[in-house]
Amino acid sequence: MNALELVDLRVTGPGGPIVSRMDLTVAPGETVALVGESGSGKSMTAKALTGLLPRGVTATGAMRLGDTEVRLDDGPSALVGLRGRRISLLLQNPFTSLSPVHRCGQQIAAALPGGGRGDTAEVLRRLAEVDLPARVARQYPFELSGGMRQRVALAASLAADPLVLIGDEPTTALDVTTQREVLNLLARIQQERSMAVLLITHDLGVARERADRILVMYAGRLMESGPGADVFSSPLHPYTSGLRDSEPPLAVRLERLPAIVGSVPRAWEIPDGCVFAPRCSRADHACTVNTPVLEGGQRRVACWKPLAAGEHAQPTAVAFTETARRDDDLVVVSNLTKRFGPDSPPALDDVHITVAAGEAVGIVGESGSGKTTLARCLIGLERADSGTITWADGETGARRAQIVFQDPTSALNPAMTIEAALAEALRAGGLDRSEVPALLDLVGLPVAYARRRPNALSGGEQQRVAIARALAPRPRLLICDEPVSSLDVSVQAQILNLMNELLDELGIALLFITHDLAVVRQVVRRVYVMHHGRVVESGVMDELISAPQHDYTRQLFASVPGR
Amino acid sequence: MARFIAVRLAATLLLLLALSFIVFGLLHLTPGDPARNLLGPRNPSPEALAAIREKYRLDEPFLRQYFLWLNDVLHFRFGTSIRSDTPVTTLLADRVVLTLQLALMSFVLTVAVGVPLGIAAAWRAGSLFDRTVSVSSVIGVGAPSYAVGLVLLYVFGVWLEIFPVYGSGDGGLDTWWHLVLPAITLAFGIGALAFKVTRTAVASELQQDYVAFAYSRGLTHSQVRALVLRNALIPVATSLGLVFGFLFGGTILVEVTFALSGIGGLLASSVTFKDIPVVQAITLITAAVIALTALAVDVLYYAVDPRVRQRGLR
Amino acid sequence: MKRLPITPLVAAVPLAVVAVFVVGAQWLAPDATTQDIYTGVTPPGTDGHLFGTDQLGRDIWQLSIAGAGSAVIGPIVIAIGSMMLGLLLGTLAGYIGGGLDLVLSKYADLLLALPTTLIALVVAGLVDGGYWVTVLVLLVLFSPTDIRIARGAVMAQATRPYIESARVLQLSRTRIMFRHILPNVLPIALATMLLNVAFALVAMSALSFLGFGVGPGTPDWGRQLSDGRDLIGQNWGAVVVPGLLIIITAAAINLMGDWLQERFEQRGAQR
Repeated sequence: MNALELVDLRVTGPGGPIVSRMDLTVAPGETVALVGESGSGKSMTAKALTGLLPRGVTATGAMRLGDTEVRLDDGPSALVGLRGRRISLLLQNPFTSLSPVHRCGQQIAAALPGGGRGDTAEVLRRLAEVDLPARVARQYPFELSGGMRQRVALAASLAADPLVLIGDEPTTALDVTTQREVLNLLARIQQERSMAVLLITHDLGVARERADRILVMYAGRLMESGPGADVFSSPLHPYTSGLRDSEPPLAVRLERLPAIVGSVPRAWEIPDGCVFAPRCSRADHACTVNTPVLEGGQRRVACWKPLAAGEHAQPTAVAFTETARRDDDLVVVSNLTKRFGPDSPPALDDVHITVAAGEAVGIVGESGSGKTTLARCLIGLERADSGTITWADGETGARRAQIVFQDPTSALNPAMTIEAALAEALRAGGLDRSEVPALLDLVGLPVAYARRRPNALSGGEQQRVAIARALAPRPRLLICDEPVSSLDVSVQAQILNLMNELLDELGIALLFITHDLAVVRQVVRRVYVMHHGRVVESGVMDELISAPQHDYTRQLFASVPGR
Repeated sequence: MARFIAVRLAATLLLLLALSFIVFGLLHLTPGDPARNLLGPRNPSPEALAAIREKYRLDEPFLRQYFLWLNDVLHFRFGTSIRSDTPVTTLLADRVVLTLQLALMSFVLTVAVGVPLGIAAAWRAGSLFDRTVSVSSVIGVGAPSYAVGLVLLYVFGVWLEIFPVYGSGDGGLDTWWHLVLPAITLAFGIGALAFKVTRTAVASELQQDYVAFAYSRGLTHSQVRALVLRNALIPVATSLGLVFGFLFGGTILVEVTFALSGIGGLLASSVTFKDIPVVQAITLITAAVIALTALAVDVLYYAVDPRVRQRGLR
Repeated sequence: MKRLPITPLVAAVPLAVVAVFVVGAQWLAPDATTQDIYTGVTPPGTDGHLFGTDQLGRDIWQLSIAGAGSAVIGPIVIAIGSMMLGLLLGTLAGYIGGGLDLVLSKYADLLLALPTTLIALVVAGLVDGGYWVTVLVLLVLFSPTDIRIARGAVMAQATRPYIESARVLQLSRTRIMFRHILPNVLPIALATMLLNVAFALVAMSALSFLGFGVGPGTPDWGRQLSDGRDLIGQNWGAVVVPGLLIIITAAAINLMGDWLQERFEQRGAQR
């Protein structure tokens, strides 16, 4: 008997349907991954299954949890008494999912079948199950690291011994090394309890590595499902294939990532017919009229023109021809040291790096590695405590270096039009506002966007504007701090391609800062690996991948999921 | 903990010192010769003027005057009322109980009505109940207590004749009975404020991830409510401290409206008569009560929020 | 989910009426200050006097219309003035920081530790300066809240990436402050200002209720209330009309300000 059976789930919000015609089964001990980009409805599915939909959003459909039938039409009350004991949910952010003013033990104990206090033998046993020491029972969440908090959250979500655990991006907020530990822990506990796990994720690597079966979701519909080994190796749906290809590989550098055009439709933009048709290269008129349904046996696909096995061209790894490194250093950083407080560990500890003119250099590290502090020191937003930053030639001010930040939504002034923002940046470089159209064209945006304000743009478009603004004064060095981390995979590929084009075209130097090895692989030739404020290793990307020297680098490579 | 309290106590004392300086300056703020002002509306003889200068040390340098005054104040010597020629301390002692009774009664009303309503409204955010109470609270926060007081006075005192119209009663239960309408009046605006603060705090806690996570692992409504209230307690307790401050400012108007012989009423009439020693004493005492309340709130905050505790220890 | 904004529409009606009172007082209430001591107090409905007359025989309704001016003009000046002060000092404190921030914050702390009504009463009462001195005192007492709000809003903006980008573009401090930070702080300032008008209205009429602020004989809601308190048995109109006018005007402004604040906060959250 399946632990979870879901028939014809539909979730409807004030703006229209969010999830349509969703069927799903998970057997005891099985892991099913629900994969999708933002706006695919995957998180709403998790909320619907646990009766936690926000106000104004309703669900219909039938669900069976073990031997209990649940009619989702009856509203959230249908799940009272089943949550925790039959189905439980682990959320993404360990920093917000626990109450900040209650001890961890108490929070685990609250959901134990007998209730009870926070330091009983049972609580300690539950902590031991997630590899945490007994002292954690008496600690508050803010005293623990992110990984430890997520273990506490896991113990809490398992307290009432559910048949089914839904993990909604359970490791997305964690560093890769911690992510691997938590996923391993989850797999072990799942096996011991023979629990069904529904893993909701945007990370194809995690899905590929951890799931027995994979379901691919797009704009509220299931596009494709099948065994975890097959879905991404021989995709049937053009979307699955596009998604897979958009994901940058770690092993090779591609001259161009095969990105999907456009972006995920918002709830009110969902088209008739196949929801993917407007972005699909194979679509014809019929696709825009008739809605395909999920069909098939082991492998199921909702597509009028599915790919045949082997029909899909593997993304060929074009060997990247790299011009030899030039010797004229643009900037040399020596002995840079920075502390934010007398008691805190150093954010930068004797850091040396160089960037040559026109060279693309990467800096890789997890949170707390000091990579962002380094960028901020270079750009002049922070002052280092000691050490030097030497710029090669006389270029000063705005024309020396510019920066692109991670979050595109706050990167642009909401009160200014795109034109005003770009004109201001041009003026900062002594250039005229008449170049605004050329600048928009450079980053692949229509000239008509000049009159818009940032909130009328999608995240990817906002990031393009942010790049255009950084390029406007014609800086010698462009610093990008996690420029694609908050974008969907398909959009991320577009931006990475754009950056490569810009580097070719403008011949400027790039300092690319990221936690994602595969991403930086696609843009730079040389990297520095940072850990606890120090540069632990540096070198040419290819050599680093084939023969990492430092323990930490090895660990970092080993932690990358699904490759 | 001791260190934290010591630091906050020092800050409070500094604040009170600055305030005492301002309060002392009030005497010199009044237009005209301080000596004449201190003698009141009588036409003073030169001897009387000289006597008052001597008594209030007006010929001393300003700063010395201040320190001598401060020394007196620290020994609870606030001087003599110009109007009634009695020691200010006696005047205050006669009236302070009534004001405290009024403040206590309306504070209890505020907490007993405003806070539960705020919790209930946040729990059913967007419902008809929530919207009705929320709109009423916006009106309540802005409603001037003297206007509300007069309306209540007319309805319950003059028209329905349930409650006494004026005065403080003959002590004991009768006084409490006389204070019912004034306390309701005072609690009207302040209760609305407490409601607003509680509703906002609880509603924002309800949006937090930990609430969804608590439900998802099978916690009951009452368990989740306990989680949320413990978290919301911190901002609510802080605001209730501020509310206490408002309360003291508010007693003036209510006491005048209902002709109660408390401290607030005394202040209003003393300002009219330029009875400066009384004004100085009341202003300073009120400021001290407010500052000490703020201190108490901070200590409470420290006790209930483990995060602050941690930072405080560093 | 767009609902018709009922709250501001409902609130706009009484505000429009009060605005008409302020502008048209001399036509709507030509006899506001005409005394008729022989008539004295009369109850509502007395010949020609809808809400009766007060102890000086003045028509309560006309007196109330004439009182609208002093009731709202001062508070508007207070709100605008204190917000301008707040924005100027708050922006300086929030963006430049350092010693200036410390001094301004301590100044705000000091003023915030005082109960506004009490200090306004004491200062305005002792100085005997009349209406505009009261306005000035309240303006100063209101400013610390505005400094705090402006400072908080500015500091919230200053760490946002677009401000950091502007700094990297080497734009001048003045330009960043006026072109980038201020436009994004203004909505909050506007809503706060509106709420301050209501608070100031209540505070000012409280002072005149206690006998300070406006001179004797001037039409004023607060003064009408304190006079009317003694007439409560003879003419309820003398209390109810100015009382309701104060309550309704304050409530309408508060509702409007509250609605604006919520809207701006929502918009801010979407960004």
